[in-house]
Amino acid sequence: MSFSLAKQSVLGLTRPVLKYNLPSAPVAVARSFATEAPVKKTKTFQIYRWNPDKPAEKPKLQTYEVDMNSCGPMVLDALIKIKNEMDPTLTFRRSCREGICGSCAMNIGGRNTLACICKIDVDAKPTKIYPLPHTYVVKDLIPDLTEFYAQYKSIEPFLKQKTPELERENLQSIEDRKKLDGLYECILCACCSTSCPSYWWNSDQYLGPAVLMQAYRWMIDSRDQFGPERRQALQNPFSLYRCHTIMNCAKTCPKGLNPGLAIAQIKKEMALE
Amino acid sequence: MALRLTASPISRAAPALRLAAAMRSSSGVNTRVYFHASRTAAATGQTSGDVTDVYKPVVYKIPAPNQMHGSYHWDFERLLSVALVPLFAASAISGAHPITDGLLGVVVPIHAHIGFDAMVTDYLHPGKVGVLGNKSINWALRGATVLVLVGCYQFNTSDIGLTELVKKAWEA
Repeated sequence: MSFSLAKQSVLGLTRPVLKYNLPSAPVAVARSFATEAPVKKTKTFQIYRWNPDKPAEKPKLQTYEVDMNSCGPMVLDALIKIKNEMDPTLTFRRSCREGICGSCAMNIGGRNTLACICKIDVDAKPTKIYPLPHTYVVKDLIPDLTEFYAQYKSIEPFLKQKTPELERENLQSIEDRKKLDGLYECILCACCSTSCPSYWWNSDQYLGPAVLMQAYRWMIDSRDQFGPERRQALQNPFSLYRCHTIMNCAKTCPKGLNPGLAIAQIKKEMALE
Repeated sequence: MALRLTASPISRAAPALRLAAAMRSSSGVNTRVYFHASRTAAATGQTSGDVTDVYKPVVYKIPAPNQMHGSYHWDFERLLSVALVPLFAASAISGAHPITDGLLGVVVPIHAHIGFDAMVTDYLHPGKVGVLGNKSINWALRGATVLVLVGCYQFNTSDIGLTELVKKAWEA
């Protein structure tokens, strides 16, 4: 015998489901919970748009209404939803969606952060999304970070040693390794450098907090033997000393790092050399 | 059948990139790259590029190290700032004295000069006002500092002195 615990109408059958009438048999009925229609929650996003294929058109803010009931909690979820459902031409960088690759760095609500870990503020005010400030824009929300990467390359961010290579590993004590905490976690998203007014006005000569923090990371690495030379490279009015401790960098870092402190440590080491 | 690379979606979709690369490769290493295609199009009259444009990496040149402009300058600036604290305190507490007045007449103008110099370096660099503009502003600043130094000296020696001046202005 076959019986189903489902309601007859659900199965689309016309014969009785229960072959044997068992009055005492508990008959489960497919229950449908009566729910109210979900409250419509829309969030407005105003997103910077510029198309290099139509360069004469000025950049503009385009408004999108996103249904928050079917959208993930982060701004990147909303951007992807917009791109999937509303406007496929919206262009932005993204990769890991977990705040570790640094691709989706952009200015959200006036603050530089990663879109994938920036929670959408569901109150009524529209959220403004801009590319990273004072950068050349490739398209929509994509900044040109060529100079940023060139500056990073210029500080030689790799271990440099004078003594010949050992047969074994470069040993480092636990205390020395602790000194690197808070420095090595940088994902080079460029949020801090593009939040620094000194970097805005002098990005061609000032290295910026991200690059300087990485310079410091190599300076205080106990295994690196080129510390004095690294500091010597910063002996000019611009590379390091355009920092005026504005501290926008520490405020905006999406990973919670403190480039301003690292820069202050460099200044201290250079002053005492 | 030869595949025409120029028909690929990548080369079609990124005229700005290739244009910028063209600008870069033609004008040397340490040049600005303009991504706004409108600017590059206006500059070169070119509105489309070619896959043969090689993307040359931007090389960032660090200027020759000079400790006078680097850490010594920074040390000196902080030294002056720190020195101003006891100077002002001494003036405020024990009133006018030729030594404190003399020192104030030297330290304050130099401190102000360094501050203004930082502003000029930040905002009025050659890229913005031209090499001539930057040079003239720097010399104007030096001239002004010299004038203030001379003025303070004159005021301290042949007039009431800086601390007395502040006192009089305060109580006026």
